[in-house]
Amino acid sequence: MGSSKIIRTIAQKLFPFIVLFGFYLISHGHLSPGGGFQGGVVLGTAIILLALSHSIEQTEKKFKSRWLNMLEKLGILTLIFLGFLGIFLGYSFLSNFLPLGNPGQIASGGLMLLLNIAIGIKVAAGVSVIFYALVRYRGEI
Amino acid sequence: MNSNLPLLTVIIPLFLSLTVVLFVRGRFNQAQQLRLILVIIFLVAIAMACLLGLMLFEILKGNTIYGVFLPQVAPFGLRFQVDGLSIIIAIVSFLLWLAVSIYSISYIKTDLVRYYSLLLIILGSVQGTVFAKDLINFYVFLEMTAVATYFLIIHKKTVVALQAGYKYILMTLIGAFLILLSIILIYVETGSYEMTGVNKSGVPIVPILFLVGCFIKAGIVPLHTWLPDAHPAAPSPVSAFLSGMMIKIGAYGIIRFIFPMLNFDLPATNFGELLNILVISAGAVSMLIGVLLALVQTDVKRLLAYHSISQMGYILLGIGLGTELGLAGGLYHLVNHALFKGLLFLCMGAVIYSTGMRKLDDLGGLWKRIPITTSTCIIAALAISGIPPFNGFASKTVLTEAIANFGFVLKFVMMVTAALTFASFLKLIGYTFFGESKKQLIAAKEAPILILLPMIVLAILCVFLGIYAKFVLNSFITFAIAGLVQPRLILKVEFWTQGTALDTLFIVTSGFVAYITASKLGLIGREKKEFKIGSFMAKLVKYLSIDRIYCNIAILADKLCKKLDSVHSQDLNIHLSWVILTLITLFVTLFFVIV
Amino acid sequence: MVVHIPILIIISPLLAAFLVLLTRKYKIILSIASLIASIVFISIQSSRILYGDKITYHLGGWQGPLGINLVVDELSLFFSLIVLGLGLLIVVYSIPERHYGRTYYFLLLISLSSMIGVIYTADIFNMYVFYELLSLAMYLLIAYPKTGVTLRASFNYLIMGGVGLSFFLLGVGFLYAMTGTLDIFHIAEKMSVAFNSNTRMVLMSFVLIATGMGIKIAMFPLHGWLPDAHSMAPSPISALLSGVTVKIGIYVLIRVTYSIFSAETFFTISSHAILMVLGAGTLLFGASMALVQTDLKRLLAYSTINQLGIVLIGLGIGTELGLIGALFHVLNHAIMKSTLFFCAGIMIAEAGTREIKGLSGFNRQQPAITFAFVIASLGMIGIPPINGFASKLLICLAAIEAGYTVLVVIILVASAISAAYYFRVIQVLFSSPLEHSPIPTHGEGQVVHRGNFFRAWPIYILTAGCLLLGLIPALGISLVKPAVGLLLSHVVP
Repeated sequence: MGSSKIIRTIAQKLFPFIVLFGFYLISHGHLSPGGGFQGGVVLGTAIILLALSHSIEQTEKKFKSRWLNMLEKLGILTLIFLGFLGIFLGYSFLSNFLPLGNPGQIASGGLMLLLNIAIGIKVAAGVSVIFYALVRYRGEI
Repeated sequence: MNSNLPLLTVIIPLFLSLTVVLFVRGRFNQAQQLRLILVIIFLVAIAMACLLGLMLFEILKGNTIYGVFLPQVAPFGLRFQVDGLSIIIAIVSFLLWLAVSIYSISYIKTDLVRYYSLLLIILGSVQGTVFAKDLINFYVFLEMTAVATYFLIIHKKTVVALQAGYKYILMTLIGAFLILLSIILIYVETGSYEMTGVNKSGVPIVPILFLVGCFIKAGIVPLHTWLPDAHPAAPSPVSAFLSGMMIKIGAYGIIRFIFPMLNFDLPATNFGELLNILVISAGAVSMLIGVLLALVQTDVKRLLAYHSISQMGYILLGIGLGTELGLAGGLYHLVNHALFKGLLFLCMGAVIYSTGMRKLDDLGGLWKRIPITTSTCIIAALAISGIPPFNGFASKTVLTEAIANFGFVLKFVMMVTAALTFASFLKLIGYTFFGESKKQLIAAKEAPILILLPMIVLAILCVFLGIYAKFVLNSFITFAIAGLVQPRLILKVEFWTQGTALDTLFIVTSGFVAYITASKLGLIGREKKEFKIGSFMAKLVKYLSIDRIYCNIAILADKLCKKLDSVHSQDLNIHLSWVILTLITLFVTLFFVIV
Repeated sequence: MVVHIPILIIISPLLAAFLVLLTRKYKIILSIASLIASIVFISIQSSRILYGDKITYHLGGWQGPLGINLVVDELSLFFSLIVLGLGLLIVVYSIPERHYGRTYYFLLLISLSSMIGVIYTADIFNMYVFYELLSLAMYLLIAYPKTGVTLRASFNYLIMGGVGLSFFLLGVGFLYAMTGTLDIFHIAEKMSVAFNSNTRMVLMSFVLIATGMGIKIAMFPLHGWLPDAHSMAPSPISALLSGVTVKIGIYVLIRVTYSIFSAETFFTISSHAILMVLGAGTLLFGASMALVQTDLKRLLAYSTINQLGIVLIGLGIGTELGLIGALFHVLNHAIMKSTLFFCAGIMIAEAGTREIKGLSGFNRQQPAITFAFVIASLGMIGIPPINGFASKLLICLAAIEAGYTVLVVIILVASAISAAYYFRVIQVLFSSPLEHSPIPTHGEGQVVHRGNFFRAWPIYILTAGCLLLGLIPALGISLVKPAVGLLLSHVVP
């Protein structure tokens, strides 16, 4: 994927900001539109942008497929584990057990924040993995 | 009185069938397997003899035996009732079963485990059918017998056997479903499954359905077409049990459930008369067609199968008359037919065992080599033709007495059938045992003792039941029908009168005449048909065959379904359009039509 | 811990599913352990539920109608027992296949977990979510051997299933618009008011939901995906599909009809007549098509359509006896059809072909499997003393009691046609093999094992179940009666 030098540089510069934006969406899920899934997609988009502007092989070297797979599974396992924490601490599954702070601040949603982060990581990893799989099939369909 | 005897009679064979499957595995060699099976059959025999004997004593005293097991939410649960009719048929079926199973030990050489377990299941199910107290139990055991019989028919697994079995199971299941339909209709009307429900129901369609179902099971024309294929295709001992017992279950159904409607002892209703006429005419037609078709057969077992149809016609004739004499005659003939038809099939099985041939063309001159088989076969043939002093003569005499008041036509039909039966058996015996012997039969020797023993016992029973006809009639048959026929009578039938002697003479002479004429005309006899009439008869038989009608119906159904299958598309778009169409239709229906 | 059981039953296979993705060695043990755990959990609670005490569990501590509740009552218990029991047997059956990787067990566990999710949840949108999850897992499972035919079958199922679930969602949306809540029992309370005020909207939602579920159940005009999907899938998945997945559609239909739209509404809009007509049509269609199939698994798939028609007739009749018969037939069909598909799997593997003609002589090779096949097909036809007879009889009795004699005739005709095609297969099984048969003859006298132990024992257990339920139908009926009592007593005040 030989793109021009301009695109490659811009993409490289934009990458951290997109990642930041993704994390912003994830962490403010309980305060503003957004949340785990949306933020995760944005994170995945960052990686896709890199892959499109540079070459797939380079991106795969940096963000290895194996790690992304592992991250994805860890994401959902974290989710279930957090749910179980709810049970162990005496409440129902997925019930909130963290102190609720003032509404309007980040640390106010209780368990929501942690769940959002877990989902966000999972979705980011998942989107990237799907993208890798689709690209690998190019020319074979 | 309540007891567990009926339950044990049914459960023990079923349980031992399981034992056969579990213990007689393929690890032993065949001789050991046979020994083990012999032990099991012996156990069954002793158990059944004791149980049946005990029940017989109780019933002779005048009680009926009831038994209940697992009474669950209706309609499920085993409920038994044993009275005279049931015990007689149970005893006869047990005797025949014993003969067949001992015979099978020397005869059946393959797949022993499956064969004997199925045989035991059939014994248990037949007892269950006749001991059943309510209609659902009757149906359950009836179905069990039908399915077990299917697997026995296809025992040899040849193409012929498989096709015959397929036809059998389809027709039997259709008959069973008709019976089930009538049972359900009875339940809805009367609220219970009692056996008397059939005659209490007011809807006329119910007994007709039941009757047609029983006709299919009994092999009555025009629903008989499975019989000439299924009975010859089965191994000989199985054929003996099939012809001897399984088709009698259909007759038992008619006796138990339909007979009370047949104008007996009740004010004559139109419907009762209709049923009378239906049963009598079915019986008469079966008699004639059975024997006519039997005359032209060249395969030994197929000939005997057609004779089964004919003799079932006799039984139905007796039942359909609606009088106590008629019922007695029908029942007596049922018992006798079980014995002599079983004997005939066993004899022919012995012939096949000794010579390996089934077609009349290939047999002949065997009387010197297998004398015991010959003599038992002659006894059976004389019995079925109604010659004194054998049992067939006794029951036919009772039947003749019964139809004495019903006009000339029935008597004529009976005489003609008897004569033609005699002629047909002249042909059978003559071509099989007498005549010139073929070269390849030089090596034929007598069958082993386990095959001959049941045959001899059955032959002795034929003789016994014939000579002591009066005793048998008045002690066993009358008390058997006592439950259905009130009050209990002593039937006055004279067996050794001038009338019966003349009848016999007529039968014998006209039988000879018919035989000689027909063989001269080439109508019967071996494959070579010198005369045109013979081939004309063959063509006629083929053209008028009812079997062809049924097969054509089946082929038509198959073609229709194939057309449906080819029309059914695999295209996704069509299916999605169907979805939308359904949605719109449901909308329209619910919105505008209903609400 | 005991109070958390409903969610644990759902989470245990789900957790195991994701753990299975991490390991390769322990995938089978994990799957079986999780399913056994779920079965243990459900049995602990079953006696309590059968005595009429339903269990409610609030997810996340939020009470309904805001939160998502899990409700385990008699109907849910019944269906979840079927799902878990058969799921375990299917996992055991899949063990000998060496080439089923982690993805297979992952998808299997996800599908089982989401089935239980559909059954237990009391929030109708949550039901939709779990159902979509289930369908996704199924699409992937059908296409697991990535051949062209399976991909096409899976694609057809995907499109039609997606359309069906979209209709379902649309119906749910209408319900929400009318009643303002998503909890099933709260909707039921508000339904009578809503029904009187905007009848047409209620009807529209009902039609949409019914059509959506009809696609999943494969009612007659909506069945197009089923023959391909069930026949092309690998055998354990066919058993899962035919035996369990279509039953989930029936569960949703029953739940929506009887819990949301109460039984009275159902009758008022006389949709029970429509259900009966569609059921009869499905019945005859399935039987006729099955008669002429030459592919064994396709024949079994059409037979599923056949039997589901009978269940629909039972549901449509709506009386107590009819519902008992219908639910009992659901149980019986699950057991029998799984047996048949398991046996078919072994037969096809041994004979190397899916054509019925190629299976000749199978009885000579494996008499026990043939025996199981015979028993299960006799049950499908409706021959006593096997369980299919009991349930068919109950439905026939219910039909006649309600006055629909025609239905009984149709059921019996279809049973006769079933006899025709099942005995055709049995006949071939018993016939002698052709001379040039591809069947490997076991000359050494030993059966080639190929892990037959794991394939055979589920079949034996299921066959024993068939016979047991047939000889003592009271066992099955006692399981079904509380559920039916629940359905019929739920009258919206």
